Amino acid sequence: MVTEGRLGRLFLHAYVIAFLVFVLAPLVVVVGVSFEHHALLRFPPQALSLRWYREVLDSPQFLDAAWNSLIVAVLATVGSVVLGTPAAYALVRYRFPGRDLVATLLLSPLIVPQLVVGIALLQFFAALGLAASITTLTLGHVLITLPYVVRTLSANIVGLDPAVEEAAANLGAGRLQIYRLIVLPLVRSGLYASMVFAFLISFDNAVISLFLVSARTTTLPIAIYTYVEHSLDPSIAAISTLLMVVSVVLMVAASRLGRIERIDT
Amino acid sequence: MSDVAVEVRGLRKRYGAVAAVDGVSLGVRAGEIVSLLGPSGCGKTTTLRAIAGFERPDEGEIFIGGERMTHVPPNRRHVAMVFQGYALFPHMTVADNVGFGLRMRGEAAAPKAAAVTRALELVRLGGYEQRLPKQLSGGQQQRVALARALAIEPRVLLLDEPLSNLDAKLRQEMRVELKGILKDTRIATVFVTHDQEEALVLSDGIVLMNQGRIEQEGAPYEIYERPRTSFAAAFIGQANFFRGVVREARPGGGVVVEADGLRLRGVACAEIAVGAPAVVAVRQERVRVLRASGGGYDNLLPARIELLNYLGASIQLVCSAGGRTLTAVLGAVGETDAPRERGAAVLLGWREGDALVFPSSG
Amino acid sequence: MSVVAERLQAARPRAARSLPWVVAIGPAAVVVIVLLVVPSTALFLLSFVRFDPLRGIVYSFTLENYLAIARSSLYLQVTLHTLRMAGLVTLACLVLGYPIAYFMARSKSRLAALCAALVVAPLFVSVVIRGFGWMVLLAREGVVNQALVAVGVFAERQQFLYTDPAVLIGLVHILSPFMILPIASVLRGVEPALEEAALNLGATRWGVFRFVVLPLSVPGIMAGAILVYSHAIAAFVLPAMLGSIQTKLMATMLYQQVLVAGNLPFGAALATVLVATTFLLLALVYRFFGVRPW
Repeated sequence: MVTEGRLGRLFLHAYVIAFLVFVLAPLVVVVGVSFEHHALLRFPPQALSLRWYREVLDSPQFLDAAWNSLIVAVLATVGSVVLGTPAAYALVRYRFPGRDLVATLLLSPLIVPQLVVGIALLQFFAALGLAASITTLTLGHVLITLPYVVRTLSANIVGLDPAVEEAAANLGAGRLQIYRLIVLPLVRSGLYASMVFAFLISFDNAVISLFLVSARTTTLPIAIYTYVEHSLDPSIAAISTLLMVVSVVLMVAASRLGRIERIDT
Repeated sequence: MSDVAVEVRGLRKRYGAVAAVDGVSLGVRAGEIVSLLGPSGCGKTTTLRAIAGFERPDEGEIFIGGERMTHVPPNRRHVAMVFQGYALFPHMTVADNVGFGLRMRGEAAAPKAAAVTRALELVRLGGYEQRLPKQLSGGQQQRVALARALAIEPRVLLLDEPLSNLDAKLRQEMRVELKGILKDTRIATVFVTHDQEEALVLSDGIVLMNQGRIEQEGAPYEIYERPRTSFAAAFIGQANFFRGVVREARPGGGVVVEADGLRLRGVACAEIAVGAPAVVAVRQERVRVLRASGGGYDNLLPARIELLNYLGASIQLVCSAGGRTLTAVLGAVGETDAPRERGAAVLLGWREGDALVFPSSG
Repeated sequence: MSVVAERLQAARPRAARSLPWVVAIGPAAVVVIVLLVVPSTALFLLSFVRFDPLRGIVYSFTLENYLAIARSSLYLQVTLHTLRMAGLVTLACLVLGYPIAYFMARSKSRLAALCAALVVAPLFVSVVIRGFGWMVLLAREGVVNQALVAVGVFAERQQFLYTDPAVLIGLVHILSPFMILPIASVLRGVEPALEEAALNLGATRWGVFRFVVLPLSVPGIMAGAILVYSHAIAAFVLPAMLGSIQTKLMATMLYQQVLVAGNLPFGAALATVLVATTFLLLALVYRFFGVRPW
């Protein structure tokens, strides 16, 4: 680096390491605490055991919540990818009046605070007489994962050489065929990446879900949150660690499968 | 204060296992323009950046104006560099760009503005002070970069491929302009290029580099007419090459080389012994094209015209002779009465003095 | 021009026959309209409706929700507190995050690659887990207290949890990637030759930063600041976990009014004020700096 002398570089490295420690500290602590045998949030853990993992994996409340989270995440991912991929393609390749406006519309769930979106959806579903269910949760999650899919895929499609599609058209391919046979295979890595993002965002989501769950239908992050409200023991750490492992595995899969564009939640 | 503006002694710089620069020494006097010429990877840019202070030598010394600068940081050397991509500060006006070096030196506003105006006038961009770099064409940006470097009145001017980003026509025009400006300011200049024509036109001296070492240095005429290695002969100008073995060596420097059954007479450009493998180089403009029945040259070779390449100011004839391909260049206006159609049989001839013989490197 | 518009322009779109693109974009647009635009509009309209604690929502036009907010010093306090907290978070993210962004953009060491991965990774861990982690760290018996007492900074364990500083730390932890990534992205676009040119012309290292790097990174800073600020204003889960009952933020008030008190119209008014504040800030930044952060 041009602007650093040896001493400056040393300080910068030290600072970066300190910052990374700051970033990882809460996560490391959660994992560590999960192995503490006694009902204490103690780090480093003194008496090691897998007790809390057993309890959590036996607990119907957590298992139900995890199952709900999984279903909603899968459905939301499918939904946002099916909706978002053609939309991204159309946005990039077609010129029509109001294109900027539509682009902003599709990205708008990112701009409005999730808190407000949650409340708006809550009263909307209530007015329609829809009780909290997998369906309403999925709809809410599709809404917030859609912009990520659109944005990731737009970036991918912009990187495609338009001449390839023009060559296909020149050889007689119709638009749908071009989409199916040329574009989709070429954006495959972007597709996988956005599917993983969508899944993780849905699976981890807390704020919107807070407004869309009920006593009967809840998601894993909300189950953790409500549990934390009234008791603190390592079972929370155990379930959190399991949730983190899922996230990390998927994240690694995503980075292998596709480039990571600018990420905003 | 010595007359030598820049001196490099025994410069060595490694990247991993590769020696980018492997023992380079050179000197540039005030007012001289020297080019570092060579193929990519030959170490010319690394050498230039070492003079500027952006590369720390593993071995060797850098002297600027007689002072030892080897370990002095780049912002204290008072050498000005013009970067290949110009590196104009996009968020500053032309005036602020050109005045930046003066601002760093703490110049007051009035003298700074005067110096900026002078520098811009020197590059013929007077009046462009308030423009932004993105509003300028490539050629204009290059001139601003030059003005920025000249404004601080450096001891040495360093140019990194100054014209390579310009299109062909502009490059030719800028070459002439640049030479005029450099000669007017009389600052010692070192520039890096891979374009041999640029080196020939602009330099007082050329340093030809290959694989981290200096292959040959001298005036442009010398390098062109009297290359000392086959690399030098091949890098500058277009030549025909023959590989063979030295059969005779005469005291005046004349040698006879046998190559694929041909007996070629030429002059040795470096020490060479009888029996040693050799390379003979004949520049394409030194090959005369004669009628099949002609003669009068030390070296004669019957050939057949395969292609005629019309180059505007000249015609290049690509001929085949016994399985070999040779090129010759003629002026468009008739120089000889030899036939000029595809398939015509001709005689190619060249003088002994035009056949340069080098020891073969492999 | 925004990033989206620039990219769209470069991608050579064709003039269209209408049906394909309507079919391609239509469903997605409809989903967003039905699930976001319509409910948000309904919410906005709801803020002009009266709420009676006894009878529930009474559909008659009134401005009393907004007037209540404007007149109440409590809500004013809460708003100011929220804005101030968000400002501190943004500033902290900038100061702490800029060197990281610079390192990520310029360094080619393995640490830089690791850094890039680790800065982003926590974004994929749920906010409740991160909040829980800080709860453990900052508790009286937590690691932070243990370390500080051992080193001697404090004589005895302090109450960190359930205070404003705890919320600050937690929010900085969560939101710093939103500051770091835009800045790093912009800095990567600043060619190193510019820094070399400045050095060559005699600038000190600090001069290079001040005159070249910093001005050119302003778009990234603005993008990051907007992202962090707008998220910090609406932050809810983390302050709920790490803050005290006393830590009143706009988001907490909103939650209480809607889900606890059931006063949807008032909550709607609060939500509108929250969103209006955020949009006002976005508009101001766009006006003054010409950058759109989305």
